[in-house]
Amino acid sequence: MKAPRFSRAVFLGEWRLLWRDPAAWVVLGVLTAALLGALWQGLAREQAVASSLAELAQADADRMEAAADLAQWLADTEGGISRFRDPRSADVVGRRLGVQHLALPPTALSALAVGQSDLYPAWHPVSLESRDRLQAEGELTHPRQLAVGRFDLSFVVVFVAPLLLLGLLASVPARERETGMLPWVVVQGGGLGSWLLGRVLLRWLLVLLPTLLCGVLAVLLQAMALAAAGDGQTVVRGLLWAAQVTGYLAFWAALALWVGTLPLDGARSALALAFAWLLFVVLIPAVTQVVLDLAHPQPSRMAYVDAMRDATDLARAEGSEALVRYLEDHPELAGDAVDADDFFAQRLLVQERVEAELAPLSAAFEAQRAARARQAAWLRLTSPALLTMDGLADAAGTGEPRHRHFMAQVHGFHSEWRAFFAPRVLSGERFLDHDRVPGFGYEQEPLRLLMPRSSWLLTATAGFTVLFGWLALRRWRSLPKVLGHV
Amino acid sequence: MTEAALELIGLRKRFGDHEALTGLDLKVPGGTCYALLGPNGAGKTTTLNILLGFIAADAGTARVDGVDVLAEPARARTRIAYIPEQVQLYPRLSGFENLEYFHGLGSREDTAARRLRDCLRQAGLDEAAWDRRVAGYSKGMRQKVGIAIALARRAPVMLLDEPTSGLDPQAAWELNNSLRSLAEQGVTMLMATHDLFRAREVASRIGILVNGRLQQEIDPAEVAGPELEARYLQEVQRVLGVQA
Repeated sequence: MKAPRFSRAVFLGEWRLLWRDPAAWVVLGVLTAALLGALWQGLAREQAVASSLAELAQADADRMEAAADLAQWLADTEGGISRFRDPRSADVVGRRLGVQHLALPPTALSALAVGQSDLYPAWHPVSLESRDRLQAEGELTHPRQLAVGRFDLSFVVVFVAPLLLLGLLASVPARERETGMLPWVVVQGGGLGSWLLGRVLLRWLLVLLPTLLCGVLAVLLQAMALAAAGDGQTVVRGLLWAAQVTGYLAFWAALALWVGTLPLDGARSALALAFAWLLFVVLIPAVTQVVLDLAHPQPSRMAYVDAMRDATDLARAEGSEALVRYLEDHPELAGDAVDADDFFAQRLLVQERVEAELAPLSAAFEAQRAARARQAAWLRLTSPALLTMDGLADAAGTGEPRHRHFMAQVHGFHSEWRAFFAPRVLSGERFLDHDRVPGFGYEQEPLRLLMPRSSWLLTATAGFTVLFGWLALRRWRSLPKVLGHV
Repeated sequence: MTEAALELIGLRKRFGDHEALTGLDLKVPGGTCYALLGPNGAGKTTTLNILLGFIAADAGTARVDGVDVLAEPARARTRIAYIPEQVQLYPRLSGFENLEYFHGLGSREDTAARRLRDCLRQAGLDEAAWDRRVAGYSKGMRQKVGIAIALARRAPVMLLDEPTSGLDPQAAWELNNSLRSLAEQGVTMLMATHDLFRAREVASRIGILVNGRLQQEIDPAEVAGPELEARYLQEVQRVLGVQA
């Protein structure tokens, strides 16, 4: 059997070369340090988020329980309390005492990628406040942190690992060509392609395996830290994450293989690979951002706030007229207890009026955001780094799609909350339904939605790999070109 | 063996305006050592590169051990062991590890370490150096590892490109001994060289290549060293029109 014998010879020789090469140890050392640093950061971040979420959930439950107890005590004792603090007021409960913080639960892979989780808050307070207030509260991030970004495993995979891999591959086979060893290798037989592939493969594994190992370690530690890690998706998400890492590093290996077939010496080969890294990891993503900003500029938050203020002023100016008009439109709500001067009812109606006024603007903003997202999805195809960044975040459950899925549930719950409290606020009756307040249960995004997205990203990355592999193969077929004779 | 193990017929190769080979005819019988002498640019290395399948000839035929190089370059290479002017080895591997590595690239069978060590011994490499890193080897020692790699291949044909270039007299003498020993074992050798003295010592036939064509063939047994040099210079001057 020629092929296995050949592979063994290459692998053994390559292993000895790497073992004795100080550069390989430096690469391994830097990679390990970066991976462990990112792992530690990711786990610490997730622990902090999990701790915050637990505290919020406990605070929500405690507040509601205290409100119910106070309502009961007031009912029993017929004691007095300000109407703005009265737990028997639907508005007070629905807007303040009963507020629920809906959290996107972390996955067992959350520590692997920050994804969009540093842009989107980990929780959203749902109350009678308008929908735009769902985003108003959240974690405060240090501006410097926002500027430099988070150091996570995705960063190591997308930015650091390719650099280290290219560092290992830059001299393969440029050094052999430079020293005149390449013809000597070719004459020994076994095929230049197999020889080169074997050498590249081992170096690729040297970077890939520690990265995957670190990913597995992160998942295990995170799963141990999360009591609710058994969401049934961990294995699939883990495999997708591993596939993204493998595919991305395979792309860089294929690119290095192609560069290896060009008639370049070691220095030029290293320069070509460094430029390729700069192009795919820095320049193309930067250019796509510029293109996105030009084609679909970010909606102006200032314009939105101005419009909201105008609408609010108008609605307030109309005052009780708004309530009267509303009750004319909704006579089923116009019970005996409704007081047209009721502050709570008026506030609710002003809020609804403002929301109605802003609806076209919100829709326009959303359309603009959606168009930008669609364009961004296509622009990802220009660089495997962009594809992988999204793929890693999506697999880890910190990407935009999972957050969008969560936000749909948040908005749904917000509507449910409003539907529950609004009639009670408008009726002005005492609120005694503390134990009937709606509860939120997060529904995992089905894997049937995740799989096609990840498969698409993987396929696109594989497309780049195949392209450069094909280019390398084409040049291998022309031995004189590879040897630099022509 | 009298059948030609190496056969070149009407071989032509052009690089742009320069015609490197202008119809080279050459036959090397099996088990003999043929020295190809010629000035720089005569076409020696081009001939070797064509035989190795690194570049394609524009016209003509080249056969190695009966295999058409132009039609089946990869198959022809399996019949060839090659020793370049500078034997390049991995400096961080020992001589034995280099041998194991390069032999493993093309070997079809699992060669025992003992046989590989025999090859190193046969190539004349001092046993104390076998397990030392090649980084500390002299050029002669590297050449010997190169010969050991060629020996381990058990190829019927060996091509050598300036094998004694840069070697000290002792190393060159040892190399010649090794090559003679190979010829005795039936290996056919084609050696491109400038070294008339070594060529006369080791070759059973010498060809003078000038301007991409074989101008003259000499039996070294029939000429003394000075006469060989005189005939070589005469031939070069005749073809190139250079005054001595």
